[in-house]
Amino acid sequence: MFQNKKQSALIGLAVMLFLIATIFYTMAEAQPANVDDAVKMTHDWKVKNEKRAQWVHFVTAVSSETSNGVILPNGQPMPSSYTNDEWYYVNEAGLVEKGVFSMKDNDGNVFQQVAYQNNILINFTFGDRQENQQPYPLNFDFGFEGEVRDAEHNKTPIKKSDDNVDGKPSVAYSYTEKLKLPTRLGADDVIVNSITKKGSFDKATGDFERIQIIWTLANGTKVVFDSTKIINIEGFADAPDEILNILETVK
Amino acid sequence: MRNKIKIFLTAFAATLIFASSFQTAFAGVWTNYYSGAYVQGASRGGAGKRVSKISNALWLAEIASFTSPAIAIPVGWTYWTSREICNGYIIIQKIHAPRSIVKTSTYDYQYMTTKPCSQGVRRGQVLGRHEVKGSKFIFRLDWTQSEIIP
Repeated sequence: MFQNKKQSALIGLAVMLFLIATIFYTMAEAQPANVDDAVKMTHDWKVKNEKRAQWVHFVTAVSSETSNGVILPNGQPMPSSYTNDEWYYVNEAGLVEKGVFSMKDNDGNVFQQVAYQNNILINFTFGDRQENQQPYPLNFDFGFEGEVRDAEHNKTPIKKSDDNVDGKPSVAYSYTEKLKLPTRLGADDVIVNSITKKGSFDKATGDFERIQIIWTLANGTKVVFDSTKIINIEGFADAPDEILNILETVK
Repeated sequence: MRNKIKIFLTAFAATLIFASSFQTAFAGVWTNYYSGAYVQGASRGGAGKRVSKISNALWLAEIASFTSPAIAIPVGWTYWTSREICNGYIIIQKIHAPRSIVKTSTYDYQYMTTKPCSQGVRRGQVLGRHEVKGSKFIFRLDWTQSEIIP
């Protein structure tokens, strides 16, 4: 009799512990979020960084757990971790009129460079030239605000979770697109079941810090397809001579 | 006869499943070119490429080589690549195998994950050199189909 009671108590305790663990895990992972909160945070960030009639130095760090498949003209594969060091001239209307964009490896060597002026966009590395490229808005949020709105429109749930960017606590908003069929993606032909897009904001300042695209594979493994972290956004009256000299070659 | 019906129904069902598997958010338009001369008999060689946005996370690159009217001769491509461009940078690409197959047409596709792009203009590209080998003429055509992915 006593043995039965002890057994029941132990089972009850185990069930309670399981429930507590499940609740804790769920809370730590992600909670449904109000889309307006995500939109407001992104919008506030964009307003805070709006710059007109000046040069903008925009630096981001990109990393990926998969190959990008790009082969550089020297025959080497493009690194999967690199820095985008970009100078944009944003006009009175808030549109990019000209700029020089450089991809740099972790040692600071430029391995892909592009310049834009007079509606001409030239990739010096690959010798590619696009004409009639009209001035365009600079998206400091990488289009995240619009995508979150789209997700809501498509009835895709937006989730909120705690995150950490370089040791700093942050809050992340994310949504997941479940593919209708497992699909081969990327240079390595990985079979992907769903794609999550996640934007992380500094908990203290509200600054947009990082955007990530995460694949969930058929076997449940998560792979960071792209992680782009904002390093610096700064306005200047003039661009460095080095940048202006590169621009002069766009003809 | 039964086998033929089975094959037809299987192929039809497979096409239907593929076509209904993805919702096209921005259905691109096929760009097709035809040979000026007949490649064999009264048939011309044809080449097509298409870029479509599927969702915020995906876009689709497609390529096809064909004959018109349809005759079975070697059709395919010597190379094809799907590529994403942002800020004028090449940021991701997938290089595919060459193909030459005796059929009336051949088709291939690749889904691509859109990467974050600080610029408002992101482009999807399909590169490739088509080849349709007839007894009279070999049709070869190489161009890059480049479309803005909103």
